[in-house]
Amino acid sequence: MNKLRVAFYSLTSCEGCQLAFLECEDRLLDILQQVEIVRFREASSYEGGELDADADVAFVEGSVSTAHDESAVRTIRMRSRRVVAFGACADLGGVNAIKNRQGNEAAKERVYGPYSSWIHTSDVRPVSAVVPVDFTLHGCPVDKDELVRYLYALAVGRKPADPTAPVCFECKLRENICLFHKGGTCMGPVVRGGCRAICPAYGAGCDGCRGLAPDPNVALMRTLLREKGLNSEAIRRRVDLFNASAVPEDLRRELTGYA
Amino acid sequence: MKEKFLPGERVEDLAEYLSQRYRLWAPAAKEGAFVFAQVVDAGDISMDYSTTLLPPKHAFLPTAEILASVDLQTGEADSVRPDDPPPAIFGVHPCDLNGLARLDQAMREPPADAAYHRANAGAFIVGLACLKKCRPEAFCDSTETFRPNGHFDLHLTPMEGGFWTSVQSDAGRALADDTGLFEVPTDRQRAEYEHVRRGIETTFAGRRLNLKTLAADLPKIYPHRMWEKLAERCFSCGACTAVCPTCVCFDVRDEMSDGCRTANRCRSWDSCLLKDFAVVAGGENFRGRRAERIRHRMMRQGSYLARRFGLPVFCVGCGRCPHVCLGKISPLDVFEQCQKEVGSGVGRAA
Repeated sequence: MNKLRVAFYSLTSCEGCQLAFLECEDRLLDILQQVEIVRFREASSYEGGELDADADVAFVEGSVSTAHDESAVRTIRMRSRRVVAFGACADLGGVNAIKNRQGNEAAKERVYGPYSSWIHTSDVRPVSAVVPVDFTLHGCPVDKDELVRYLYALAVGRKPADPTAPVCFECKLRENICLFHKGGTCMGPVVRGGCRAICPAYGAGCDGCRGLAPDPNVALMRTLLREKGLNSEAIRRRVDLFNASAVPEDLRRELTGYA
Repeated sequence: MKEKFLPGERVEDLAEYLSQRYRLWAPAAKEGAFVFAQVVDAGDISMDYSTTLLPPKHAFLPTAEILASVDLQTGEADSVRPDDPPPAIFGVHPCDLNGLARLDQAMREPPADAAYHRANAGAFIVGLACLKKCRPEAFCDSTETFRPNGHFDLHLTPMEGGFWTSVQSDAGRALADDTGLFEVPTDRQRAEYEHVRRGIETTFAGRRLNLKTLAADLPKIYPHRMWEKLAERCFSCGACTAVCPTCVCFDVRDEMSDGCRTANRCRSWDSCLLKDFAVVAGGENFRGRRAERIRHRMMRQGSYLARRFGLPVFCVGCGRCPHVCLGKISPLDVFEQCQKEVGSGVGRAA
């Protein structure tokens, strides 16, 4: 059986999702029995071109924020049979997309000051806004166990499972005490799980790194957050951390209360 | 049924005895709340607990488990679980005893669930009576599940000096004799127990439902705008079903492990509140709307499964779902509203 040819690429990102793969240390040798890694800059000393390999599956980390990102992801798409949006930036735009709400010029000025004219940047987009995406691995960073399951499913030619249950459901199964009952706040009721509620399990409210769950009751979410003293601005910041561009405008308005 | 008396100072010894022969599950404190956990030290058991975050269902039906493994090189399948001792669940309140009985009915209905049977074989259950309501959201009075239902081996009722012990099964009788911890109750203790038992009846006398007609009433309001109103308060997050003693739905997926050398058939709890629960081949979703899903849960708890298994109500009124529901949805309120709509309710006691 031919091994699955896998490539890892990164666009605008912290490259932490690729690191999550490398952290599967005890399973890497098992994984390599099934897959051949054809490109993985972060994990190799290869100094040739990055985008010159053909792959069965390309894991694309990061969002599209530059012309270079855009041309890279188009090339990756052409040379790969399957493209996986790998992590929150690729999936949603992620943290990078906070910039979209400020305007590119203001953002450049704020970060680079007098050198801002050297920088070329566009509005941040998820990978799926530029090229078709076959599968998505959610999260910031991705969940290692989920990643391994994904790889194995793809290796045997199966469609990977993509659970949509909200964080709340998994949080209850872990027997966590609800953060709302502890006086805190959490986006868990409207956010897609699959993370096994890792943040609430350690006392931090969900910030929505996996995006909205299907059919989210955003009006009720807003009511709850308001009851806990969050005003529109606080809710907006909460939503924008990972989902500045990912939440449809009508839902965003309903969630934040901003007209 | 035989009756015995367990002196209070010996309750830890009973737990200790069980822990040597069973995998012992018991209520234990967790961050100011309680969980049914596998306890090693009997001293970690909280006998005076309110209610647990999850019901003890997961002792028999784990939240996630591997039903069978196949070695893809040899083709050999292995569906036998490790040779653990059977579970004993200690200190189960009446709502959860009723919950375990309902779970049992559902899982034994043909075709009986093999993995559940294996987990359940030889299990030992010790009930623990409630003398007062554990939390305001509980409505075991209205569902009349505040009494133990016989689904136990031993049942302890706290009273002065110890626990009145009802012995239900042969296993319970044998164990009670073998431990040497129990005493023959005196007449005074019997009178005291009767007093406690009557006190329980008085404490849990409130009824907001007419259980005689509930299961027949609910389907009458299947087409009703109340479900749309209810859905406004529902996240459809599935928290209610996750904490429910009588929800039995699960999902089964096949997953690879060990570098794809092994295929595992994995089962995990599922929820009819989740958007994709009722998606079928072709992508059709026959409960695609939130209102349809929350209605389904209420119908199931109040009517469908009650009728199927010959019970007045399937819900056991433990109060966990209204406690965790951030939209404050309670089956009690919904059932009561239903009975008001169809004119069969008991109304609030004057």
